[in-house]
Amino acid sequence: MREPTFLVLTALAEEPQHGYAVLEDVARMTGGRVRLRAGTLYSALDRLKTEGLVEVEREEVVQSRLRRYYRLTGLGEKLLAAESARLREQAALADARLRVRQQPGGSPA
Amino acid sequence: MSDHGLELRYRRLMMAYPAAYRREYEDEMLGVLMAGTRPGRRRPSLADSADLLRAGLAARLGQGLRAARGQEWRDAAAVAGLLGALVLAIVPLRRLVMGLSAPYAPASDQLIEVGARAALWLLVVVAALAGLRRSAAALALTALAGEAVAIGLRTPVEEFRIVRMLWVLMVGLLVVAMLALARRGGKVTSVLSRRRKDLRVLDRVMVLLTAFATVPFAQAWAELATGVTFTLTLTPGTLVAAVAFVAGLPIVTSGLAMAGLRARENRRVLARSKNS
Repeated sequence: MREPTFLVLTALAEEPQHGYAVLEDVARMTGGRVRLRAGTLYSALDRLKTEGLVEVEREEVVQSRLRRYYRLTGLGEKLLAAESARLREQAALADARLRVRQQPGGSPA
Repeated sequence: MSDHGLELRYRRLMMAYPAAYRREYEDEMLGVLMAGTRPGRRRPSLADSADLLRAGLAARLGQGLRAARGQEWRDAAAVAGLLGALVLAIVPLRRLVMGLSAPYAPASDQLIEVGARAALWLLVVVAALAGLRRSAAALALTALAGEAVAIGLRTPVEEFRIVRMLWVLMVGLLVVAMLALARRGGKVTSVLSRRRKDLRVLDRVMVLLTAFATVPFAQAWAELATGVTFTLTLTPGTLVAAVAFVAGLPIVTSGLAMAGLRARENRRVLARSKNS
């Protein structure tokens, strides 16, 4: 799973959000490191929708503009949980190796 | 109103997307784009523009590839690929027969070369006719590699050999691509023996054959334009120009044929929806 996909799914994990809110949420979650743009966001949403990981929850018209709220599906939830577990395992592995390296008498490099 | 001008510019950028995609997302994306723009801004930022163009073209490419993976294109590719392999087998075969029946025989290494090339492409034809679709694609790749080796062996004595043989490489490449696409299509014999000929498949065979049919013209023009047959030498510039010709022209013509086919089929769908 690529990072933008992971971040979009994470943004939708708590509650349904509309497109612009997802962009802002991703920027906030990554401390401004990742700023998705509209084209990239909708490529991801379109693909995730086709794969059945997200769906449209409701539509609103705000100031004569169409707003769609997206939510994570059951499948999306499972996939995000699996990806999160995988990342956690990798991080734990890296931590363990680094601890060995930093121990006095541990084998360097 | 300046907002209006900006909105218009965003809409224009979104022309990069396929129509169906625009119908689905344009208004919504416009809302996101406008919400993300500083008030008073008149033009889309360079980064937003680049992102829209990239994503739009990617969506178009994805749509095109999905369409090409349709069953009708696979069936058409099986037929066109077989015909291409047949041509690549017949040309060296004819040289072999002529060489063997000539009053003074050409060098035996040349006879071996044309014989080996003919045999490789004949194997592709046989595999395709036998319905061994995956083997046919793999053999085509082998035969193409064989052609490249044959050119390489001849290059020390005939520097411009590669330019003279570009058409073989291009046709070979097309055959490999088509047979690869046809791997999961119908068997070519069953496509050809269908009692009621499927016009949509036939149309697609024609589009694919356009690519083959353009190669000889492109080859002749490439030789003329670069003058290799007169100078008998090869420079990097000549090679690049010749490759651009021989690869570019068939892509352009088959692209045009494909666009024409799509326009015709869209018109037909429209006419049908009006009648009903």
